[in-house]
Amino acid sequence: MSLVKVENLNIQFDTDEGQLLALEDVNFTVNNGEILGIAGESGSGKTITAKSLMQLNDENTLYHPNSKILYQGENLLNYDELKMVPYRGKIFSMIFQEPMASFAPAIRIGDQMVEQLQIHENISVQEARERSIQVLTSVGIPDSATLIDQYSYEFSGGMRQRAMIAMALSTNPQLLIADEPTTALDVTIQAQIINLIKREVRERNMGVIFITHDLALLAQTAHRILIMYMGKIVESGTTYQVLTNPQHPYTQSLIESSPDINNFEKPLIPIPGEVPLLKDRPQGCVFQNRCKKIMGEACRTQKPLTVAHEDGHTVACHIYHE
Amino acid sequence: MSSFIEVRNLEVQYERGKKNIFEKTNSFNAVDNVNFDIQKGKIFGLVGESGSGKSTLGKALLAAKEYHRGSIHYHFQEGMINPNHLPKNLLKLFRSKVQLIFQDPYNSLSPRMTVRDIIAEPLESLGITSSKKETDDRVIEIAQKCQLNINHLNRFPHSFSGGQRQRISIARSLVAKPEFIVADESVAALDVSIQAGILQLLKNIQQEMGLTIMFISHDLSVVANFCDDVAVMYLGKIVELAPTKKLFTDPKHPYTKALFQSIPSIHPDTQTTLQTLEGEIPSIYQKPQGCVFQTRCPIVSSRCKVDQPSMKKHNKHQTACFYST
Repeated sequence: MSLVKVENLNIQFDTDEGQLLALEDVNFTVNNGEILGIAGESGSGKTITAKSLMQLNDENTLYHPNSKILYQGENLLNYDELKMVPYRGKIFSMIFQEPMASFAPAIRIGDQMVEQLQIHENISVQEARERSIQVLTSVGIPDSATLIDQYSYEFSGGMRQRAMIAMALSTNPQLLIADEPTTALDVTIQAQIINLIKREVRERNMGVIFITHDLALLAQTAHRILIMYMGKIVESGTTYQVLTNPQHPYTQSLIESSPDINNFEKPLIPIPGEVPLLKDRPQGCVFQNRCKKIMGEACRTQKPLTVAHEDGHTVACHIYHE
Repeated sequence: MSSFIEVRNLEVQYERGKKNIFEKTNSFNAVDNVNFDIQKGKIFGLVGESGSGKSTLGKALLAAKEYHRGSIHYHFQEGMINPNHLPKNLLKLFRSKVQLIFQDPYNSLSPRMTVRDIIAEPLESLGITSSKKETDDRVIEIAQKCQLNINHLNRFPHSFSGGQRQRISIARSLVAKPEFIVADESVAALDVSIQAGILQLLKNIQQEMGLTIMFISHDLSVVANFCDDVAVMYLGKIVELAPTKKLFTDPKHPYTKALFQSIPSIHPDTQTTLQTLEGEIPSIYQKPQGCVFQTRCPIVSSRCKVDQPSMKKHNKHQTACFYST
């Protein structure tokens, strides 16, 4: 069942250099019990997309009037700050990239968890504390009744990220947004954390948006994948479709540049150039200046339409227009 | 033929802060009885989790951290150098031959120096070039090699992207024409598409200049792709050491095996629950007696809790485990 539906999300940033397009016609849904992966390089708009669901983007963000973020038929973009409160930690919850920077260093972990629960639910301190201990235990923190009174710096990186997940899950969210949740962690801890997220998705039937630049991580976790480039979804489909039969030249190049542990002698092919700055957004296809399959006039002047390659697998590239 | 770098029974100690003034100073070995050789012109990979001592070992090789026991010997053409307690004149020579590429291209470049000055700094401080003209020529030569636009050399680092900054950082490390480079997590902060380009650049330059590289990384997929030999570290000890292909196709130590099983593969067909280790690497203060890996080892026995396994060698493949097969 569809949990959240994003329609025609267009975002501009109002800057000194003018209004710069950051997201262009982003459309997707997240279903219950599903992990939706969003991948792309730095600056591709992954985090902006996730933050717009909770409206956590900076104040200079302009949402296009036709943009919609639909939850149970309501467009969250019409909500004011007060009505957004439940979508910032209760119905939607977020795990941030840097577990060290996401906890307040001078407040005990338990107090931060209790505070969050009390904002979102009518609950006593005692109850909130008991629930927090329970969730900490369920994410694998040993002796959580004692450790709950520690500070975040007393935790190791892996434990801090577990506590972060516990905090995000303690309100029983419908949608969990995980922004690079394992990037700062060692592989063995990363494997523990993604196993934990997968287990929680199964048990709670919640939806997850999993943002990462690591396609291998999505191969092991996501049900469906969106590939983003310069604020546009250039390809989307099931994990199997996107990774085993990539259609967009960008997706193909990303896979060619990624190391593969099962085929470690394969040459890694870099993508030439870099993601352009927002102010240098190209006319026509956004990927044209790095594309190895560029065809000519159409790529430079016209925006490619998103077409279905097969059931559930879409791609936005001129190669597939007749 | 002897190896380019020989490391024997190396121990590097850190002192732990005292809790009060009456307490005895405690020291502990961040690198503990480590032995290995690096051959000229090879890329030596060093992997392990945070806290395993990889960077400390790298620092000892660079003479950036003193070691307390054992030896490091560099066999240069000019003769053998041991980087501990070098006199000033030799230290200068050593610094021109051994260089570091940092992890973070954002913090390792001074924001107030132009790219030209950043790259030229080793030449000037080591007194390698004698005139400004010579320095400029060397800077331009290395900048071109690192695929930097030489018309942009008068700009400041902030106007460059992460990938370009890492090229600047590499150019600075190579400008003095070193023979040995320690690359400590040098591609960790980059996107894969950019990372592949930096690795390619390093490999080309390495082959062209006959460089020897120690490549420190926590990313096993990159190490598997890039290195000739790989050492796996855990709590200050090397637990396994082998040529890359041998190590990745036939890992012997239970820690190496567990590490490999934790790496996600890009093939969705293999989507299963990742097999991984329980728990975390213990603090170096609480290093266990006996085998360092015993607290997380799936095949631990009573012997592992008492005796320390030593490195056993079998066809260039070394393992420190009583039960490695």
